[in-house]
Amino acid sequence: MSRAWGRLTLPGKVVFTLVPLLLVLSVALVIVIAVFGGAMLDILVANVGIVRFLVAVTILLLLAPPSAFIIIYMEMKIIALMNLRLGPDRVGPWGTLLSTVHGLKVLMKEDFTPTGADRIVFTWAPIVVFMASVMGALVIPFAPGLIAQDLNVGLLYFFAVGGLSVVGLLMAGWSSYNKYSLLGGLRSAAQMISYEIPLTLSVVGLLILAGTMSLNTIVENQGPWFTDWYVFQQPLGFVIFFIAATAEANRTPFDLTEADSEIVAGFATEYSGMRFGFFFFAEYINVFIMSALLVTLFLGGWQAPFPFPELHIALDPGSLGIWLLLGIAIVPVVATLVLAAPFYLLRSSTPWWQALIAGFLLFNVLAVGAVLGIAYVNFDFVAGILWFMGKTYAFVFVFVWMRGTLPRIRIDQLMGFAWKWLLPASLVNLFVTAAAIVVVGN
Amino acid sequence: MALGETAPIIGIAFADILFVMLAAVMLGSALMVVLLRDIIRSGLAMIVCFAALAGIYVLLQAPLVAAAQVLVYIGAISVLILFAIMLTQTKAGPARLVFQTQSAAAAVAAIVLALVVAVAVGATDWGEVGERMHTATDTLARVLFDEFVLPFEVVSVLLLAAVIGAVYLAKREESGPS
Amino acid sequence: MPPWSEGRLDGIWYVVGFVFAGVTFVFLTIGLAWLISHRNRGDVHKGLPYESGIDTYGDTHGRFGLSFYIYALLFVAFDIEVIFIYLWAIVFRDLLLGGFVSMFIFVAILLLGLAYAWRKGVLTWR
Repeated sequence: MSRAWGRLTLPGKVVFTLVPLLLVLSVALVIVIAVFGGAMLDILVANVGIVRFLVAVTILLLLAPPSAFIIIYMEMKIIALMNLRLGPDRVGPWGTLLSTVHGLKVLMKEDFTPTGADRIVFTWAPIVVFMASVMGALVIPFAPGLIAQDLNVGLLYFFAVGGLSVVGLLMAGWSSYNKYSLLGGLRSAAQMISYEIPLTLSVVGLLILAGTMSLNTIVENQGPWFTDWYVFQQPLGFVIFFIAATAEANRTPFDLTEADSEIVAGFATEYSGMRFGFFFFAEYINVFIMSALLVTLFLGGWQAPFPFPELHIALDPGSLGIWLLLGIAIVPVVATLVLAAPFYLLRSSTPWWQALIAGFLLFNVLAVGAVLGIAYVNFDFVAGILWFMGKTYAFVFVFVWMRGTLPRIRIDQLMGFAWKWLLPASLVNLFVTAAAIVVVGN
Repeated sequence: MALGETAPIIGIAFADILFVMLAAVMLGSALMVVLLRDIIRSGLAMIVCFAALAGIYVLLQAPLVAAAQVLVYIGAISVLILFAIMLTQTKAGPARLVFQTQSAAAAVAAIVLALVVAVAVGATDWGEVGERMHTATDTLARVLFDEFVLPFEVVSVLLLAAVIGAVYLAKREESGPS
Repeated sequence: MPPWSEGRLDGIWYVVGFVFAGVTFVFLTIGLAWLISHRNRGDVHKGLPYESGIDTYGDTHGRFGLSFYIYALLFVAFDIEVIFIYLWAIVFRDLLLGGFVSMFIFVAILLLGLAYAWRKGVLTWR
């Protein structure tokens, strides 16, 4: 025992002391909640505004790393399949846990500061970049009512905080004291400021149509049919926005920021450990946020493409009385047996236990499907978040697809394209929309 | 037991606490802009100063001005300044050329400015200022494009001048011997 | 009315609180990583900048091409334009023709600058 303790490293000792302590504390917390729960609940209800704020901020921050993990896994697996490789397949089912393991690995890597670096700026740079990409999520409507804060200058706020990442990249490039870093930082800053103009101008036509900058109202305007989505009224704006968003998120074909064949890893060359991890997170969260904004603005956000028939399944489980308990006990057994029967009867070689397992799994799938279906029909936000996430991840897939397909462009093409093509095109889009409104009237 | 508009023990409104915090951040970072030796850090401290100022704009019920502050001042002008510092600064040059060669003149200018501000603050009749008013964004826009169209157009001439000046600088740098 | 219920100050509390919470989150994570990561001192070569294995040459914070700066200047001009255009866009349905003409003049004057820059070849990266 003592020898094992002696072998532990200092961090190991800390962890081994903290974990039991936390366990004891959580038990104590449960007891406290059980005793004082009622009074605490009263306080929480009285201050519901604060509780809402805390919950919203916590959810947004804690959802950021997992969504980055999902996108990183998608990228590894999808590009591998496109390249006729296997991709990750060891950790977890189909390798799904690999990106999480990567994240934990980064957490345990040495976080190193080079000798020539400016320590303070070097540490703050990933924080600024990370915050600039996460803060945009504050105004994204995930579902009806599920929006952290519906600012009435929402869209302008989004672009304003998104522009902060330029500062973070410059900080990273400058403080590393490395020529690759500095070049990468300057390059990415030049790229991002060039594409920010078409990005912001491409949505002006949409703003004219919507008459507001509040993202929630913009989504509400795009219903109930998919023909009301702004993409059909603003196709040029949509294309410009998509291209500029790709560049803003530093994705292929515009990923000159980390053109590894030219400047190693760009602004992140000297970073390691968790500070590098936050750059990495920020990049993938950017992909998510940009897809989410694209969907919110042009593809109806959480709106379903067609109005779902109004039906409310009135379920009142309490009225069943004792039959509820019996039903919960009996229905799974009966359903499993009924569903297992075809497996058993169809092929004589199937043993009975395999048929039972198959029937049970099928029953579970059906039950979960039924619960989800009832939730979808009865709760607006379930339907909203399903549609929103579906559309968003479809665009995340497109971003990944582009990375698997398109080559990187040259920097002169990159800058020329922004100023000579996208900027005039977005202005044309703006004035054509305005002229149409003038001609048609309101 | 809902929390009201004022903090429980000290009895100061939460909005005022936020204002004091933002003002402290702003003054502190403004001091850092002047006092830090590393010019890049000065530029970054200036960005913090701008951000705190944007927060104060929001407290003054002007969210649009705050968004413009963040978008233009932090997103564009500070980046321009950072670019300028990064592109021109070199460790080879003597630091004396960059720093504190005109401290006497600067002190005079600062004192004069402080006097002007003090006189302006003292001479204003603050009793006339009413409650904090909420400027709706669309009201502001209507006024701008209704009564102030001409100043608005003049802004574009100013911006044009800036662009042409920038291009001229760039071309001269290139053609001339460096 | 408390500032965080349905009041007008909602936004600032959310933004400031979010910045605070986010920075705390990042610092906690970096601190945790610092706690459980391994460290070793290494020698003087460990702290050298990585420049493809070659010893660093010349002044890193030296001078760079001016083209970056020009883009930043152009960006400032167009960023200010963006603010005005956004304001204009949300009330455009009330302005109609008058608004169209005034914004067209505004953008046309600014585009003169862009055309000048284009003509002078500044927009072409070198």
